[in-house]
This record gives sequence, C-alpha cells and structure tokens, in this order.
Amino acid sequence: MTSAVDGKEMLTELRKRNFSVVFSASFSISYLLADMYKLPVFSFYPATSKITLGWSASTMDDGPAMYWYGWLLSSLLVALTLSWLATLLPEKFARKIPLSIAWTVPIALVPIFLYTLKFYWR
Amino acid sequence: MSWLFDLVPASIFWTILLIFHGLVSVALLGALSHQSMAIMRPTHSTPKEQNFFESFRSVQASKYAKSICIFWVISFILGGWIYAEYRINVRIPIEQQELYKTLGAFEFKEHLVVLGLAMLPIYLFSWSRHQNLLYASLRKYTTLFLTVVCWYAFLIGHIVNNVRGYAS
Repeated sequence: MTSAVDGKEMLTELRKRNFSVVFSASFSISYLLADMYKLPVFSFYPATSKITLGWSASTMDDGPAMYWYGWLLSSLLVALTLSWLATLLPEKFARKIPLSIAWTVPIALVPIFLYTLKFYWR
Repeated sequence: MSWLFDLVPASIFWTILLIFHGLVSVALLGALSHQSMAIMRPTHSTPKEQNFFESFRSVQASKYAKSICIFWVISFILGGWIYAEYRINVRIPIEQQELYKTLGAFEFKEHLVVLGLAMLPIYLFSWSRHQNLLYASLRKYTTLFLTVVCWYAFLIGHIVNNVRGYAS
C-alpha cells in the first residue's frame, strides 16, 4: 500500500518537474520563433488601441504596431500545450527529459536574440 | 483609459506607474542579489563574526523564491503596461535622435525578461525542493540567470529613462 502511494507521489513529482522543464524550454524557443517568423497571435496599435489578428504592419492611420504582446501569447499557448503533453508521457520516456534544458535552452538563445536585433547595433 | 485620465492627468499617471515599476524592480533586485550570493558563497560563520559581505549572503535563500516570482510577475505586468506608452512617447523621439544602440539595448531587455518569465516555474520548482541535491545546479543556474537579467533590465530601464525622462 505504502509503495503504491510512494509510486504515485513520485509520478506526480515527475510530472510537475517535466511540466516546468518543458515550459521553460518551449516558451523560450517559441518566443524566438514567433519573433523571427512574424507569428504573433495579434498585433496591437498603441496610438489607437486597435488590435488585429496575426501580424500586421504599421499604418499611417493607426501608427506603429506592437508585436511583443502577440509573441507572448503565441509562446504561452505553445508552451502550455507542450508542457501539458509532457505530463502525459509514459514514465519510461518522462524520465528521459533532461533537467538541464530548463536553463541551457534560454541561455543558448541569448546570443540569437542579440543577433535578431542587429538592426540596432550600427 | 480615458475615464482614468479624467481623474489623473496622463503624465502623472505614467510617472506614478513608472515609479511603482521601479520600486518593485528594486525589491526584486535586492532579493535576487541576496539569494545569488547565498547560493554562490554560503557562509557558515555565526552572526557575531560576520562582516558586511558575509551577512549579506547569510540569508535563508529558499525563503526568497516565492517573493521573487511574485515580484517578477508584478514588475513584468507593470513594464508591459508602460511598454505601450513607451512605444509612442519615448521610442519615437529616441529614434528621431538616432540613438539606435539605446533602443536595441531596451528591446534586448524585453526579450530577456520574457526568458526570465519562462524560467519562473522551474526556478520555483527547484527552490521548493531546496533540500534536494538533485536540483542544486538547477537552482544555481536559474537563480544566476534571473539575477543577471534583473540587473541588466534595471540598468537599461534606468538609462532609457535618463535619455528621455519620465513625463517629458
């Protein structure tokens, strides 16, 4: 009985761990991809408070468009989906998700983000 | 927002919000700095023997984790709110002055704080199991990353504020 409870607790712990690990890595990667490939869920025009679905360019009437909020939502949706899927993995595969990707992936993306901003480094 | 600006003039409202954002960031900066120092160089001396640097890092680091997450999220929301105002009334004048590196440094900060936000669940997970040695490096690297990002964001935010100034 005790070992069955222990086993269940360990599995819950493993699921929490995997959810957090996959969330960190997938959120970072999907945020970068959303930025690089113009994939915000919505574009926001702060001058007129207008919101349009997907990526849309700045206009004379509405002023500059902002994509940061849209990228956040895109990456949040992807990360939540992938993290939830990670909790459904069978124990054998779930144990194989390395803990270190939670911090190595975001750190590895830092120079890429610097590169994506190359327009400003002139 | 127009109903709000009927009560408080827009420039005063944004100034209050920016100061509040700054204060939350100071609290976050302090908490993360204490926690990082505690994890990098734990001290074992008694309080009587400690100098300034030893007492700075002799905190119970695990106690800071939840507050750090809350401060990060509050600061992120406030920063995100101010960001829209920045896009119109701060960024455009800085573009006109051709201060591109300043703008780039600020945009980079926006990316870094998102990476920090993504790391919060695993950071909290590792600190809520602070006695588990299996998560020791995870605790160390996530804490250090958040600390570096927080310092960078704080300094760049301050620089951009100095370039343009609030309510200007």
